[in-house]
Amino acid sequence: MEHLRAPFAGPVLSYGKQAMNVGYDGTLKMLATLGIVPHPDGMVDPPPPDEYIDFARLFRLLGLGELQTLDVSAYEGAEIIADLNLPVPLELTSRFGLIVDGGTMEHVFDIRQGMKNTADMLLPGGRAVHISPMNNYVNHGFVQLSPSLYQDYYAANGFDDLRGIVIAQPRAEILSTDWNFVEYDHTTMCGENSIFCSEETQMAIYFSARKNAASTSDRVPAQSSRGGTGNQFVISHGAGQPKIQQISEHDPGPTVPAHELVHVGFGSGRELHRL
Amino acid sequence: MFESLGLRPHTDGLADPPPGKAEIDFARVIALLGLGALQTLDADLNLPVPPELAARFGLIVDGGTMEYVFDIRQGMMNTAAMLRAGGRIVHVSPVNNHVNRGFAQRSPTFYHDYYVENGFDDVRGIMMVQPRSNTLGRRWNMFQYDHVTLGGVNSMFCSEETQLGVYFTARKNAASTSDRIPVQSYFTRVYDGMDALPGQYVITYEPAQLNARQISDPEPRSGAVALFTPIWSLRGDAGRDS
Repeated sequence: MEHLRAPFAGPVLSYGKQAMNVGYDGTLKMLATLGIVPHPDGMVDPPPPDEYIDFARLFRLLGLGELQTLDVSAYEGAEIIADLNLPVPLELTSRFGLIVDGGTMEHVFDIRQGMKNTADMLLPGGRAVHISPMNNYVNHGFVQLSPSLYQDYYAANGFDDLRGIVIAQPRAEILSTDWNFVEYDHTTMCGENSIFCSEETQMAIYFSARKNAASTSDRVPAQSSRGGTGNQFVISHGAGQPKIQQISEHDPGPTVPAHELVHVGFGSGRELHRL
Repeated sequence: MFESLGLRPHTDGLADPPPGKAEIDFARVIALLGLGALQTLDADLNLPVPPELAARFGLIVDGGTMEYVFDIRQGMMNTAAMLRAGGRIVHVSPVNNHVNRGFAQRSPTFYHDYYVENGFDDVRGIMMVQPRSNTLGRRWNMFQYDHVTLGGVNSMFCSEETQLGVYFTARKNAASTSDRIPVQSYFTRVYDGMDALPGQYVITYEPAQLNARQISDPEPRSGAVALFTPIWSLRGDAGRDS
């Protein structure tokens, strides 16, 4: 969806070896639903249909070339060994068109350094993508990242095209059933305690931003939303129920329906529905 | 509250009492406890604090600041550096269902792993179970954070009517450091081939009791549910009972 909205470009760096929760056939179906023609590079030596595909194949299918992986140890065969708690080597500066943090930043104790490293390694025009635990993921990492961390850091450092999507997942059978994707609108949702979920839902945040030639990496943001708007929402997983429900005492206005984005069933059919 | 705890208020705190119903500030609590005059810091914790503040305090209270400090590592280093040997840090921080309250919600393993890595003593957490609506006007339930049972990933979930906070404390000693960066203890255990701390619980706020439903299978450790015996219940309305 995000590749369609604003196409990604390589070279691609992934933090850690990551896999999709979808097999090769499911991925091809998903690309077909989205109207994306798979790149032939990704179709060489196809894996068994029911095996989850890794990020390397996904990005080849998207025509973004060969993926490189950065990790703190050589344990999983990463090409670049670096600790994001420390400044990355200078030769990695301005190297990547896309950096995917699919679940690393929450384990980095020094988040400021981790974010600075990410911003430094991007080419101007390159994009950072974070997918991080946001709520009902206690002790998954050191912290759960709130959207305001990414929003305020990238805004303070002059990045463009800031975009967040809340991912509501079922706690039980997280990989098998219905996820909802709800747009994070900072104007209505920036307030403290703005988003809640039930004990049956876990929430992750997808956040992306694009570096430009004037972007910085070392500005430390103050939280833009402190005090906030008073708007409060409950966001749920599952196809059947309202994906987002307003629970604050005052009406935040007519923007709410725009938040509802897409529902993805990773069940047997591995279907993707546009809303 | 002091009476029910059997604490004798210090005379310093009884001078010029404020109106009975008014909320009292930290300065008066500290004076009532006989801890002298409170100093308040409003320096930028994102930057190293001035060297003259090193090893100055016997107690540092972070009652909801650290979650707004973008440079988490520097904020923690500053706090540890400002404590005297023997001094204690107290954090009270949002843990769950507090999205956008601060840049990041703290998981208990964050404080646990940092203070253990830096050689602090008496590392102790208390989970605070709070109602989402009228949070300050209703009773909170508290239970001890047991890292052996609850230190694993995704160990605590709550309903949309429940918020979780953590009280965390640790004591500096003469050999404590402040600059060591921890690896999350869950992963250290897994890499070392130890048990993966499998406890998972749904914690739901109810005014009269603590409701913790175990959802991990099998039970992480015999009798672990007993950990959720409320150790404290605090009512924040006019009566301020404890």
